[in-house]
Amino acid sequence: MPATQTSERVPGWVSVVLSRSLQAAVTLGLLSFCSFALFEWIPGDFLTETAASPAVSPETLAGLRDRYGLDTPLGIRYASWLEGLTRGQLGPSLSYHRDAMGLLLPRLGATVLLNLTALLVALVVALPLAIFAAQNPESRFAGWVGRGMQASLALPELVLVLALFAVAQAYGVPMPGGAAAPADESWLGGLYSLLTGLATPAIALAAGTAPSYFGHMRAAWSEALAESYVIAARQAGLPPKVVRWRYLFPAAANPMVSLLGGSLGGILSASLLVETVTGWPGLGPLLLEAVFSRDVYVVVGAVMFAASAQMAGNLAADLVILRMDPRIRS
Amino acid sequence: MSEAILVAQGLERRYRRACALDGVSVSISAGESLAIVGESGCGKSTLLRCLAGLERADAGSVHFGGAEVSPLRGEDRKRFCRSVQLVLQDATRALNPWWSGLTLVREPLDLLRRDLSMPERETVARCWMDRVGLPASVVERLPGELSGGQRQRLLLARAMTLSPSVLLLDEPLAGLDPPIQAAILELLKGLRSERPLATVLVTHSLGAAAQGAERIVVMRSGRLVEQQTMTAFLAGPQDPYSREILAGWQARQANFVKSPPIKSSGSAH
Amino acid sequence: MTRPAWRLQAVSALAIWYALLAGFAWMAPYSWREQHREFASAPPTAIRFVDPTGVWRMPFVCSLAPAPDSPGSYREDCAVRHDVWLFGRAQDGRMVVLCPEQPGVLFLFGTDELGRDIFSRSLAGGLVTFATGVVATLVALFLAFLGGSLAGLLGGWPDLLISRGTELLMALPALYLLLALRAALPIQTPPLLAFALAVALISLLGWARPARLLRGVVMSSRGEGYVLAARGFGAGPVYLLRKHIFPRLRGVLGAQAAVLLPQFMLVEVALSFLGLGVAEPLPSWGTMLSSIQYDLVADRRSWLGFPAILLTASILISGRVARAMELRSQPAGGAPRETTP
Repeated sequence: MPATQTSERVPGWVSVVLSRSLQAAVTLGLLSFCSFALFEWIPGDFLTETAASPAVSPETLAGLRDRYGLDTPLGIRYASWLEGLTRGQLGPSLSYHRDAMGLLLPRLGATVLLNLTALLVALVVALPLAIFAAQNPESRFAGWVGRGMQASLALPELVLVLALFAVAQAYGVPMPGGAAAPADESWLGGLYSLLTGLATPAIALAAGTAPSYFGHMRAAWSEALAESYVIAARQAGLPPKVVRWRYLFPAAANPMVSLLGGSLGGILSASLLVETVTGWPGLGPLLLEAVFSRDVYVVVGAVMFAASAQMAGNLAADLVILRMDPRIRS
Repeated sequence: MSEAILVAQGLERRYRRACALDGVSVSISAGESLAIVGESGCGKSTLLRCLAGLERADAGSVHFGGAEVSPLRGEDRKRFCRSVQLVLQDATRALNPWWSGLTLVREPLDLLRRDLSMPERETVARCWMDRVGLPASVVERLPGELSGGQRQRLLLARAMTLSPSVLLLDEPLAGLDPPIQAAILELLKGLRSERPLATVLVTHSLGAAAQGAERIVVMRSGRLVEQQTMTAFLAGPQDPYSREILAGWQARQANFVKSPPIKSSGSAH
Repeated sequence: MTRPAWRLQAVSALAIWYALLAGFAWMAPYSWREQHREFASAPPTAIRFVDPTGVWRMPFVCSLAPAPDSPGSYREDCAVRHDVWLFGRAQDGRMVVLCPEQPGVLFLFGTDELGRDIFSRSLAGGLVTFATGVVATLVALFLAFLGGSLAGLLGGWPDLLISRGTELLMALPALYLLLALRAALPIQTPPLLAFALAVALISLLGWARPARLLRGVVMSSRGEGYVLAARGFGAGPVYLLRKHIFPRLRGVLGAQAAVLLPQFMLVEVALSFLGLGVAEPLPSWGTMLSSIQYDLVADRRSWLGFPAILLTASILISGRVARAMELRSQPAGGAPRETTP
């Protein structure tokens, strides 16, 4: 037997994590630098509109410019931003007068919570249906589900959110930012208002992704059913349960997990729309607000966070595949 | 024996790690038929591509009619292309799947025989398609709609439109049924009897080599281990490796003694 | 149904849909900027066939007047009827799809808060959204064609640069990136500039995926046996590009166009919805839908949602075309298959 290579000393997942982290660092570095360069290159800044107001004296303006470092050269500004990053700071928000990190972190948490919930909902709905449809291709129910999913695949996310939003409003489902939050501030009450607020955006987001998960999972499961080793296992008389979980599931899960990893960017983008419409306090609405007020550091920070979230999701998907699929472990 | 027209001297070719050609010298005389035999990955195809001028060797040279091939440009290069034609391995990939049979066969004429008018080129192409035994309907078919044997014939017709003096064939029989293999070999023999044409047949099957060539070259990991006339080779090879493959082939022949050896039918398929 | 027939059907459905949209927009009852302040937020006008006495008549609309007691609501007076003509002539002599007899008004989809006819605006807005999608698709495909074929043909550092660039673009959530880029540009812009900006941003972010696809096709066709064979016939690079490589890209480009068009239209809608795309008074399905957010339920002005129906229909038809075109990246006779005679 030839000696196994370095894999004995460095497990596969460590090298994957390391190389991906390096890639992510390079990507984020490039992204942040490009953003800085872009804002430098484009005329006008946060204070352009303030300056237009006659009530603001040139002295105040100069003071503000100095305070936010708007006139320092690009290189120095970027270097000091990087230096702040090591201390966990993302630069001052110009309209909130505090560091963008403190502003963005809770928003990131809310976005991640919403996305994970939506993912869970979508999977819980789509996967069993998909497996059922693949196992019983002749079933009339599976046919109708398939057709329904196919049709809703074409439904634009925005239309979906607006429709769901209208329905939720009509039935009095509380919205995240709404005044319907219960008065009592106990943790239970807080949890309740969180969950009810989460319902509409999460369902809207899940409804947008579930059809594509359904389609892919059904295809992957049918494909796995046709694999010769699965047929052999069934022929050999293995119990259906064993075949399902030891043979079919791993084979079908691999394309599914890669799909999940690949679809993260789309989900985050859809999430931005959903958050904006339903008022979920995620990254999206804050980014939008910052775009309108040209709050540079918040914009850069929000994009960096969203990018990190997507790359982290991709990495997680890769690790899961690595764990599940022996073929690519080497 | 007539003079050598295509001569390779000390060819070396290295890919990233593997050494495909390691000092190969071979010469092809006008009108002769040579077989290059060896297992997969021994450098046969690389040698053929170097001979056809499609790949440049890292060291060594290929001469055609006394002139070195790699520096040829313009009209000289075209003249070389007209004279030395390569029939590529894997007919499925060597034919553009979007093109009809006639366009495919006409392609070399479009490139190298601009002196002919379009109807003339089509006539030549049709003639050759007919000569290699393709039915007229192939003219409009796409490669995907043809059988493997028909695709191989299409490749042959395409190479022959230029009336080359050397035809290099890279595994022309791979993936074909034995009767079709025999028919293709017979077709090659027929072509050679009609005109001065040297053929170089690369194959991993000794049977095909014995049928389709008068001289044989055995290759192993980028080197020539044996160069012989076919009769001398069948009588007793010098090199131990050649002896091994010959013995293996003969043993298989003996096993299938009931089934007659490849017999040419000559019928078109 | 056979594959080409299905493709033809899908493509012609799309063509008919947009032709109808364009035709109706041209013959819309009102202009997209025409305001009927006296009929602000009016509900869709009913086209009736039966008058109050129960007699069947030619299609007509009742006379509409603001209710004196409650502002924002309207009362129909069916004692005064105005006939509705299909393809009638309006007061200014224009040909109009549905033309009410003067002085009647016909707001098929109702009006917005400025009293603009939503039907007419939906049609014009659809054209704006469609135009943005089409132009952005063309620009993105052009960029992708340049980038992809350069990377695929040259290899080496141009390939490395383009591949890494597209990977970078695809590793980031598109809408976030779009907004960040938009943030760097002036927020208040004249409509035409806003349109150009939307096109530029969408295609700038959207070229990455088709570029990678085209690069892959170029690379694989460069290594195809038939390209090698053509080189054996003395073919030069120009011939190979023209005859063997670019024709393969044509199919990919067509399929990508069909996939990208609905995607880009949706991005335009999202951008305009967020207030960063096409600006008022120019309508776009995005800007029209953004007003729905606050009005739909609060005021029960559900008719503001009509553009959503048109949008959904457009995306549905485009999706069909995309699926039909994706099947097309194969030669008509089917891919070469291994057969024995």
